[in-house]
Amino acid sequence: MTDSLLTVAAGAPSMALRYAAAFFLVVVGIGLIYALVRLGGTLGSADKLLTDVDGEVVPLLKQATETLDGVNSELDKVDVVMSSVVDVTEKVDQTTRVVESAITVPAKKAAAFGAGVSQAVTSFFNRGTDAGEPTEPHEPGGAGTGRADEPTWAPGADAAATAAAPNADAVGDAPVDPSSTLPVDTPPSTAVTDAVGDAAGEQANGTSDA
Amino acid sequence: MRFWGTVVFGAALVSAGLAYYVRERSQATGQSYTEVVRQLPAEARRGYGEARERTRLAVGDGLRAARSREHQVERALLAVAPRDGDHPTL
Repeated sequence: MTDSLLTVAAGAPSMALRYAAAFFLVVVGIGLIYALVRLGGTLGSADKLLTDVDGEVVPLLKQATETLDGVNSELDKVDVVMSSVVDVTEKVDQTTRVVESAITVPAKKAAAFGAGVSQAVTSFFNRGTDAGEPTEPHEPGGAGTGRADEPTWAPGADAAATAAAPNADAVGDAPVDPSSTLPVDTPPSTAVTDAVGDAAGEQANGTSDA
Repeated sequence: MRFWGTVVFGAALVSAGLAYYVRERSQATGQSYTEVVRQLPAEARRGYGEARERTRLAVGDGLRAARSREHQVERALLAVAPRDGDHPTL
């Protein structure tokens, strides 16, 4: 009896420990089961969410792809239009250049012709009326007309020269050299005026040409 | 008839012009009409030579003025012409 009591007394702590361990294992099992149940619910929600997202995102992506394809096709059309615009602009530029050259060259020649004719007529008649004075240049840098080596002609001077040479009929049959008649027609004072005017004119020409 | 009428009319005009010139020349110089008429060929030659010389000089002046004017117009056109860099690029 004593031995059995001793055996029970000796085995009592191990039994308590075994019961405690069993209780602990039961509690842990219950906790695990609860956690697994909650995790399963969460995973189910996530699966549902992913399914919904997959069902909505795929059509959106398909629609975005179609939109981008449309935009690309429109951009291709715009590219063609821009190429045409560039071609048209180049043609307009070339046409403008051709028209400009076709207009400016004759206009330039016409302006030069008009200025030349005007200056020639002015110079021709001014030599007759203002024999001793250099004509005004037609434009800045233009040529003065009075020169010391040029023959001058005065309408009233030849009459005096003819009166001074009463035997002009003997000379009249001979060929007349214009330069030989110039000293007779031009008085000395006029010749000096010519020389001064020519020097000023040549100086003006030299500065304008420089 | 029309040709000879034109000839006679022209001759009358030339004669009237010569008569006017001789009279004016005689009054200006105090010479007689005969002397003025005798000097007509020499006057004509001298007038021809002077006109030719004046024409030559006038043509030279006209050419110089034309070249100057052409250069002026060319410079003016170059001043207003757009440069190549001024063209807009697409």
